[in-house]
Amino acid sequence: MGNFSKLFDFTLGLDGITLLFIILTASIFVLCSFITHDLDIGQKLKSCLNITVFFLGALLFIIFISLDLFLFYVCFETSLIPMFFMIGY
Amino acid sequence: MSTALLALVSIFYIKSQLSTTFYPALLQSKYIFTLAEQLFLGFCFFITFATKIPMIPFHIWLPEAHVEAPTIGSVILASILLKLGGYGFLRFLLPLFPDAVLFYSPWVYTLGICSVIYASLSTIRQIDLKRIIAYSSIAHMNMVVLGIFSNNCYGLDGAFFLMLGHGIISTALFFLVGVAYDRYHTRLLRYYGGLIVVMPVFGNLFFFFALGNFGFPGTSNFIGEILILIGIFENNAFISICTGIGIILSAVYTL
Repeated sequence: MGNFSKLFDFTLGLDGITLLFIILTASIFVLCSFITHDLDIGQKLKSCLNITVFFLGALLFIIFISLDLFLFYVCFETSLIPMFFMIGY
Repeated sequence: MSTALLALVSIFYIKSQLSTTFYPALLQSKYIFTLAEQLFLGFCFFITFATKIPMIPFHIWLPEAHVEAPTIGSVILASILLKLGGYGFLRFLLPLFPDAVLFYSPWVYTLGICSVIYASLSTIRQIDLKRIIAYSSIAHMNMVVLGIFSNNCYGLDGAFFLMLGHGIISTALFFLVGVAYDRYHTRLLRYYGGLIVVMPVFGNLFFFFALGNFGFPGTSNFIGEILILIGIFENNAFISICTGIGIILSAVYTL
């Protein structure tokens, strides 16, 4: 069990390259939440879209600050799933 | 995307050889990959990130996704998800497999120039506004790839700068197209003639960001493109001339 938990621990970190990307991501997601607020769709669909957007935002933050190759890969691939729902909604 | 499985294979290979995937440990490890290993692993990583960029054999998904997506989807797609490819090159491919980067750089130059010129030429004949911006972002992101693989500091700086600038400018352009689409429910270019008469502020903003998109002097993309040109010119003048043709073509399609 010790080995198992050791397999899945990960480290996060921030440096000069990442910091600017983080700022870019954060500002763009703020703008996107404004746009979602003004959309002319049903309340239920809007909340689903909000959940998708914030899930995608969290994944992108993890991608940029992960210091682990495997965690980077997992989030890199998982970010396709909310993107799929967002494109097809 | 099935090409990303190649990266999974190479990550497991790194894990089996070095018994860690922790990034600083990978950089400081005493184990040195042989040339064959570097070529294989670098190729796998390159294919994965090139799909995300997207470079020329893998670029079909991007315009289709942009046309189908709502405004917010294409904003996130263009501004951040495309940068993941460039970020991956910068963070993982260059430090971990330097010999592979040197070995593959002529191929990458060829692909990158083909992508820049092909994307610019196919931008000229698009009539859908979102497709125009999508193809122009293909051209810009391939200039980023050329800058990253130019093997000197100017090119790297310019690539990083162009990524940030393109992130901001493509966001603005997609938001503006979304605004126009909300009003008129069409994205075809021919129906937008005389838009500046009815929406003057919108028209001027769109003109401003279109100038920014092709790198007008004084905007952020100009700095990025100039640095990339300097960086590539130190390496290979012919490639630099081809990239210059790409920039001129970008001015053509924007106007």
